[in-house]
Amino acid sequence: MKKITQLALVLGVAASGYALASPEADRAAFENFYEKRFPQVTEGDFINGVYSILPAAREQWEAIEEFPPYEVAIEDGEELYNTVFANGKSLADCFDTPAQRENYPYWDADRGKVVTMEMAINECRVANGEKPYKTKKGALAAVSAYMSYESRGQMINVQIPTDDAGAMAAYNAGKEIFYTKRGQLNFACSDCHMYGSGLNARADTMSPAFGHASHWPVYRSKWQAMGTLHRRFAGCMTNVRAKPFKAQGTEYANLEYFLTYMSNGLEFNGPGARK
Amino acid sequence: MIKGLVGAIALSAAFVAQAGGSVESIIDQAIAANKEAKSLGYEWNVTGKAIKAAQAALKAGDSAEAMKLAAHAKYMAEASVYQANDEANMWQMRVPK
Repeated sequence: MKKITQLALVLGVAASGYALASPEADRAAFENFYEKRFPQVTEGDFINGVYSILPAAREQWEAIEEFPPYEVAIEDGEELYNTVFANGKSLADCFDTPAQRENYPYWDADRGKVVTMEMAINECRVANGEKPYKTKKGALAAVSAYMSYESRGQMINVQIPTDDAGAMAAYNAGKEIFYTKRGQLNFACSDCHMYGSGLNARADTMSPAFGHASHWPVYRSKWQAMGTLHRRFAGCMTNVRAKPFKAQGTEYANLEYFLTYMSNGLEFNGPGARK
Repeated sequence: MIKGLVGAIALSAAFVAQAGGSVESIIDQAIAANKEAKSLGYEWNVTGKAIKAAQAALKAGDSAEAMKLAAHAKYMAEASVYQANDEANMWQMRVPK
């Protein structure tokens, strides 16, 4: 009986260890997974997504980057960033510089929530009596593109205050979404972008999740337009036949918190262009 | 192969549903299970459409078709609840260590 109790205790501790690993231990294991899977990828190059592992496709992508399809969005975004609101202020009054990517996402302890850069843009508008932008594309993606462009070269350095239960709950909720199977097709983010990364889904190669958060918003050829990271999250969930969560809602903000933290130490290089 | 399997599951679900009550009752059970899946964050994007299709067939007076569609909707709604409960224990196994 004593042995059974000891065994149950050991198994319990081992099982709980999966969920209770520290964010830094999670991040190190995450990075290690991709470095072992793709030893040919040079340090830091994972920010280029699927093009970091597909040399032939990379050549085409680099040709596209010479006249990037997101250029117009950057210009539009700069104009919107400096457009004066009805109260005489503008987005520029809410941020000391447009180069803000390195500050997001972050845990706001006072409000008990993860704040993304796109959320902060809309909060600025609302605080100044303007309507918030729609959250997946259009003006929000344009402003985000401009701010991301200004932030190029900043390092991803998301902080998870491990002594804050709320922050840890948000981090773990994002982590759970990443590893949880959803939808009629029964897929998790990790099924495609971790354990399936480098493999093909129909004609497309699935990209590694390490570096996924570095290059948003993106001009996606499939969309023929810009889209935010949360638009892509929603698209992935729809693809596996799950009902997507709300863009800039708690679930995706937590997922962004987790996913961006996993890429700590890499560079922000948005906006990007993808198929 | 997969189509055959899906068809067999749908047929068996329809058989079970027929044994279990009226079309209205099956649709109500599908709606209830889908609500539960939604509250758990696991709603499938095909279930709501399937419920509406069953309701439309019922309204059109095609009770055999309505029963088949209702059973399929109920099967999907219940499967999504099962997925939610199963994943609550399973997702940790995919975290690399």
